[in-house]
Amino acid sequence: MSTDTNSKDPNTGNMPMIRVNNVKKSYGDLLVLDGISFDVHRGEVLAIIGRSGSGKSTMLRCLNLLEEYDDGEIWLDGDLIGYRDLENGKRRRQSESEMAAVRAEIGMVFQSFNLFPHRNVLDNVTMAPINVKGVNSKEAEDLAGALLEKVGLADKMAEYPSRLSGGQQQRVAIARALAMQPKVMLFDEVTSALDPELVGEVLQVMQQLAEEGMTMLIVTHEMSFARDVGTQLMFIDRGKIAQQGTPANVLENPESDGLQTFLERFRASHI
Amino acid sequence: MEVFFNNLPYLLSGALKTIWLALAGVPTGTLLGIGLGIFSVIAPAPVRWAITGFVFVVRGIPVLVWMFLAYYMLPAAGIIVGDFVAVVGALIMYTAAFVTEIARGAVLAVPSGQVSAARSLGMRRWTMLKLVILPQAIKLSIPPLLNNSVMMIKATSYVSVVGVWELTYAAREVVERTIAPFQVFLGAMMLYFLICYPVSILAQRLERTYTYEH
Repeated sequence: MSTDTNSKDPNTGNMPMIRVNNVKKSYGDLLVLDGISFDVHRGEVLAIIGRSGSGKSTMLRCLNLLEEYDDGEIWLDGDLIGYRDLENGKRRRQSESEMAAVRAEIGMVFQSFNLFPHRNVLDNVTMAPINVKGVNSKEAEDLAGALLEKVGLADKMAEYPSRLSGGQQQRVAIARALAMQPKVMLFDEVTSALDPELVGEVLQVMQQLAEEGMTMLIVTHEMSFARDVGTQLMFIDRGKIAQQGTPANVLENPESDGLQTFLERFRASHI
Repeated sequence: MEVFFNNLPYLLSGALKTIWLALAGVPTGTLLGIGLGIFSVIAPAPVRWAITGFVFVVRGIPVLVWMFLAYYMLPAAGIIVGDFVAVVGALIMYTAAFVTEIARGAVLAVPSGQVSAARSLGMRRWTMLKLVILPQAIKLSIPPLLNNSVMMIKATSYVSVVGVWELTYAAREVVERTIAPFQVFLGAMMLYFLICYPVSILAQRLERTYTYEH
């Protein structure tokens, strides 16, 4: 009978915070991720760009197991996530509770905020620490207070999300994700739904996080932000990494026609 | 209206029986339906299919037919229950079938982004259901649930057809004695309204309680 191995890399000390190895994902016949591989080390900020439908968001959703990946491996801080290796060389999907435990270690912020509309700002931030991690209420409220202070919303604790602007809601969403004290933060086009004048306040918070050493993966269309804050920039095209490198190098020396076209269209739309 | 007022005590007794029938049938059926509605979303496929089958069969047959079946068929099958229990059982089943669909619709109407956010925070299924989905689904389901409750309170009048005494039955008896159908049924109509009106008020209060557009 097969037994589980611990699915832990013996050389954890050398492992990046995130290792994605040949990950594939399909929806029916549509191949969305076609053998994606990359590493993100502790404290690095990986900015991901690409056209709509190129697989960027699916990649992020696979990383925190909101979507199942079909093939390949994803490692978080030395642990294989999504599957467990079996001694017979096969693997099985992690149980729902195992995956929930993994998700609790990965913060995610969404394009459409997804705050809980029936709870006030403080409850939004304390709900998961109290009910998932078992933190006591006082401790959770202290942490929430500090995080809301950090994102500039300490005076909005009692407000409901419907009373906040888009930028404020997104900053609460960042505080909510940070309250779980995650190892990695994923940002999925977090400024795309915001009015232009509200984008800056969200990017400022993200920049502050990057400067504090948070490991971050950011799907974005904010090229100047990606250039300034990203330690790596990745262009995904049709489910494959078309180019990856330092932001300056990728943006100034596009190697593929796809990236050249993407950047030309982006520049044309921002003149 | 002299006929109505002369027979008011008798009609009020019927109205009390109607309230008793409604209290015995509607809340129980509603709670059962809410449970089935939630399970019809989260349970394994065979359970979901069984619930769907229950809803289609029960909803596709008139409540009066279910009452006849409960009233006549259960004793024929050797299951001896009182007439009150039989018709209340039919009411519970019929209420549950409709509420199942209301509850299922309300759970599914909670935006998928809420589920993604809850899962991304590490919440397991029951935690997510308790903290995120159900509070929002309750708000969505209050108007149709209370509407259904009013419909089922009025459906208690069907029990008079199978011989169970309540307000409509009492009104018919008074009409047979007085030959004044207009006055008597107008009075019965007012009594039904007085029974159903508080439910509408309750609906408005619950909607206000569960609002989060502060």
